[in-house]
Amino acid sequence: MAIKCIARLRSRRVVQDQLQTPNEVEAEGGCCWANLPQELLWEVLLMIEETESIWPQRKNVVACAGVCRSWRFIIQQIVKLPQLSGKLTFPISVKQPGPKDSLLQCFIKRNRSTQTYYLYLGLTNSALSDGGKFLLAARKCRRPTCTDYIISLQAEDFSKGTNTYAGRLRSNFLGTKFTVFDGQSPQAGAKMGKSRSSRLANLRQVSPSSNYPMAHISYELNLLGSRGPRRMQCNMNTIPATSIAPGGLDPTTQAELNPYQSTPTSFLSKSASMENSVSDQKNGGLVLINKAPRWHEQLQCWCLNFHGRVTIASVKNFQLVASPENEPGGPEHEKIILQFGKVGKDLFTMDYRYPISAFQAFAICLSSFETRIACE
Amino acid sequence: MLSSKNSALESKDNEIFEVEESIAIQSELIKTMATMVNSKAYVNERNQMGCWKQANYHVEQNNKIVDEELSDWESKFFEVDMDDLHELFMAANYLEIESLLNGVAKRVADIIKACMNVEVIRQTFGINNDFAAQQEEEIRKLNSWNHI
Repeated sequence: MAIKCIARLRSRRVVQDQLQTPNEVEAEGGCCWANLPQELLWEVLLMIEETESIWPQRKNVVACAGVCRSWRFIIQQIVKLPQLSGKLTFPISVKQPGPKDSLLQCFIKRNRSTQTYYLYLGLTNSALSDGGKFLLAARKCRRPTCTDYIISLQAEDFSKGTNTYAGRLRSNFLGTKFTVFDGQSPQAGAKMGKSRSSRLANLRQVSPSSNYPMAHISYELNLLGSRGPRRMQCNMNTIPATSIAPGGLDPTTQAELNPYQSTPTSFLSKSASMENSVSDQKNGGLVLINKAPRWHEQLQCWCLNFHGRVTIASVKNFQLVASPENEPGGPEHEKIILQFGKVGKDLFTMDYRYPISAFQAFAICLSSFETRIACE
Repeated sequence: MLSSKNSALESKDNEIFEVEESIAIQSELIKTMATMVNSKAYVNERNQMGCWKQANYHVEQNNKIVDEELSDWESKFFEVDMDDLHELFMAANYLEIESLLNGVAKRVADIIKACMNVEVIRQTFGINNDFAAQQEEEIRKLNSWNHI
């Protein structure tokens, strides 16, 4: 349609004065994307966050957070916690509870020669062989009286002093009891994250230089001895037992967008030691136990229903549910919180959900590799 | 003489042009001003024509629900340089033309997605890195995790 020139409309000065004036930059005749009004920038970044929801495209959201301070601020507001969105976005996501509504599917690759384990987020609707988004890596370090698995946010960097150190799993000499330590970067303590858990009682901030024992894992022989599947128990110090119940306390601490920071807090008044598993329960920490397999008479083996996610029988395979002792009764105790099992020679699936994080799930799975409690 | 169905609009650089009313009221601002008499839009002539062309296209499409992807016509329409795109963005915001705002935002989002990394985004949009040194180190590590 043609746009023709025509006589000017009569104008009223009063009306003109009342009109919104344009952006000052526009009036100056300069083009400056850095001065784009916040509401417009917000619209653009919101579009990106909504469309780039799965990896590898999600890296664009992370990239936007690294452009400048105003972009980072907006991305920080837009990106929701994994427990709400079901999406992992930043490195800190691996230390935040998984989705409430479903299991997040990941897989672990083992490199026997370097004693290194790699955790990946599975890509939607892709075969495991198509690769995934790298999340964490762990390397085994044997020591005189114990074994450590150093967990890192970098695939090949396992030094403890750096920003990439995420924590470690320590095994006792016998390989029957483990402690999960949440690592802290030196700067992390200086920054206080916004904390949603401020309503929890007995909060205690950890000093920046310590490794905080966030969970204890123990393995025991079954009552049938080595003829039955082993028993696992995980005491999660930093997760309230009520978190699994509807309306229960939320373990989430909304950390600042410092990619490697986490501020683990315990609602216990003192940190639990390895032998204190009973008092953990009394104090309200979430206790996870492995679901008991059923004996299959015809197949002559112990069976668990992994819903297709585990395809090779192995003593390492397990499913964790909340112990009924946390909260009596209720269907919550049927919900699988962590599932781990073998699908290939050095390939394992790991599926986890709220209230545990990818880091905690990974550490628990590593203990399954390490423990010497087995069954015939 | 002004046709009763048309609005006459004057651009920032004093060009005057006529736009059919159904097109003009795509702009919330113009709609509001339709009952008032003045309408000096602070957008240069070239981009204001662009705005009206896009608004015209939208009306021709019978104001269909906006799709996720830009249509072919819109994709071609938004193939302008960064300066013009910025001005279109500001114009759409000022004139309150929702369909145009949406289209430009999508185009900008597509440009960002096409950038390989943070540095390319900054160069494309002429944005300075204003992070403190300590934050910059964290951003660098963040980007490294991003690309494994």
